[in-house]
Amino acid sequence: MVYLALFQKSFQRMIAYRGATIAGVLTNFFFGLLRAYVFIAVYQASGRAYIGGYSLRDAVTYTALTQALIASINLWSWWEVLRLIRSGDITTDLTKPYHFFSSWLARDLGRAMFQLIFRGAPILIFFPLFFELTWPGSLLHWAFALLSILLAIMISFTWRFFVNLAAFWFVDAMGIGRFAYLTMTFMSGFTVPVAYFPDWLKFAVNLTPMPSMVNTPIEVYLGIVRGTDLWVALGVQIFWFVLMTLLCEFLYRRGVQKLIIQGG
Amino acid sequence: MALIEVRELSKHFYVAKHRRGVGGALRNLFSREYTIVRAVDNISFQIERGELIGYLGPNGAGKSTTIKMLTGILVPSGGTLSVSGLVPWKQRTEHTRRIGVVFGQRTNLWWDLPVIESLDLLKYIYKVPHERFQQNLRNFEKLLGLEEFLNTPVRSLSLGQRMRADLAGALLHDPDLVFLDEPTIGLDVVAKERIRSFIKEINTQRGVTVILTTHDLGDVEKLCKRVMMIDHGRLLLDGPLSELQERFGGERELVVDFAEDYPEISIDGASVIAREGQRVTYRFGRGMSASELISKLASRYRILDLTVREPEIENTVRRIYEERLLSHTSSAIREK
Ligand SMILES: Nc1ncnc2c1ncn2[C@@H]1O[C@H](COP(=O)(O)OP(=O)(O)O)[C@@H](O)[C@H]1O
Ligand SMILES: [Mg+2]
Repeated sequence: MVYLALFQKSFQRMIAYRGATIAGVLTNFFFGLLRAYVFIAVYQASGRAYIGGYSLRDAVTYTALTQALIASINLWSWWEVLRLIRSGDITTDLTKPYHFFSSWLARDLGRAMFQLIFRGAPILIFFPLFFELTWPGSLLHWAFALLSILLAIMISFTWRFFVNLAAFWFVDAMGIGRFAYLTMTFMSGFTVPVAYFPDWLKFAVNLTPMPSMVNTPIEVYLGIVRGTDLWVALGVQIFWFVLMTLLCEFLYRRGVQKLIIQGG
Repeated sequence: MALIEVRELSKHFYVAKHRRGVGGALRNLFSREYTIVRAVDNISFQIERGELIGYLGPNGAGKSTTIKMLTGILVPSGGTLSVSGLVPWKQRTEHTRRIGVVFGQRTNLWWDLPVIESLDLLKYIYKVPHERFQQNLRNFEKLLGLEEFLNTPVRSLSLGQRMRADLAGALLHDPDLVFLDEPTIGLDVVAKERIRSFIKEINTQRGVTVILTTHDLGDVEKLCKRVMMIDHGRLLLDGPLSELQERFGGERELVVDFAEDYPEISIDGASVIAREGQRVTYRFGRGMSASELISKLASRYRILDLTVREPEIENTVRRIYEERLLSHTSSAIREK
């Protein structure tokens, strides 16, 4: 199948970036240590065992996980579709008999899978040399955590794709995009868990797909979300993926219509 | 019905005029003036199955715009077109399954992957049966000399190699129509030759209809029986290459070696442009045939040898563009 082939080639393509992968792992790892020590200091200073329902060990694990997922969820930089539109190279996609959105989703999942393995796993393997981490208690728990991570990557793709589509309408789409990515970094619960947010902000971000991209899979992994809540969390992720996909498809069609009528 | 039918096809672009300076920028915010670029202006033609067409014109003539409409990635501003019964931009996906496209400045291959991997991907994209894929690949390997770089990542290829790989990619799914937009641009002579012979081969051996845009006359001279010439969006000429020479070839030259040194050699209807001893070069217009001139000369002088020189096709085409032998109106008009 074409989408499977795209997934596979995209995974394979990442092998060309061996150097960047190694450098990335080192950077993410050391920033992870740094962030973990900040959490330790905060917990010690506050004298509390739990903050927002997170024990210190959970908070450190949270740090390790966010650092491990940075590359695959691709929080800060993904401009492939934007560049395609801006350079006009999108014509090569438009002359191919596949579905544009799906083809890029497949390519992004191939990339993300590579980075989950080669940039994510090493961090989880080496973090325990410095700190004790929380681990899922059962195989089933692992399966749910991985499912939630997969959904998070897919939702983050729809978000990035959506941001990139701005290039159809705005010359300065990259500026807009940078701002959007920055917002996502904070609102998704990457910087600190959403549980630490003041109530009004927690309420606000929960109305957006942001927490589904980072916060949800981590809380599933930590077992903070469990039982019925787990099903609700996965349901919310699926809801956002479907909704964002429809939105992207709608906007993409408008964009292409404009492109083929006005000529870019 | 012809494979491609194009009737009164136009594509106009509205380009926002840019006012300069701060005041200009402010005014740009509130009102915009547009320039209409008539990239393709009311052209009509038909193309039959199996033809190899040279679509010729200088930079900015409207070649790529025409190709984009034919491949379904631009909607015409006016006129109609159909390609094997489909309206390309309306039935784009269906249409793209049947055609092959190469835009010389872009690539269909993946930058970071070895060539063979990109070609393999195309097998899935076009659902080419494995057997057929292997067969085509072997064939193209031979014709295009792909073996030497099949396992090289595309980013390390030379332009000529990349173009060869791209051509193979555009034909792996056996399209019966291919659009090649400037496939020889920026290539050296050897690379050009290789690509030309490949194009010729797929046209004659596989019966693929080829539409080739170029501003390189060599391509057209070597490959195409039929030439369509475009400038400022207007189709200036559509016919065999020989017709081009006949109509616009301008003056020809006759080089004569006389048997002796004649003091007076002028003749009506031709002018002497060079004289070295007994060798004299005359120039004559389309008003007189070569044989007419030769018999006139032969009746007066003893002649040892003669040659007629046709003007270089390159000069002919330059003359057409520069001297505007085929009139067309100004292409950009300003409108509010
Ligand atoms: N998207 C566009 N917007 C505005 N003008 C365009 C666009 N595409 C092409 N043009 C203009 O249309 C004319 C024809 O362009 P093109 O078809 O690319 O020429 P060619 O391929 O023969 O070099 C040129 O004047 C070019 O600047
Ligand atoms: Mg062009």
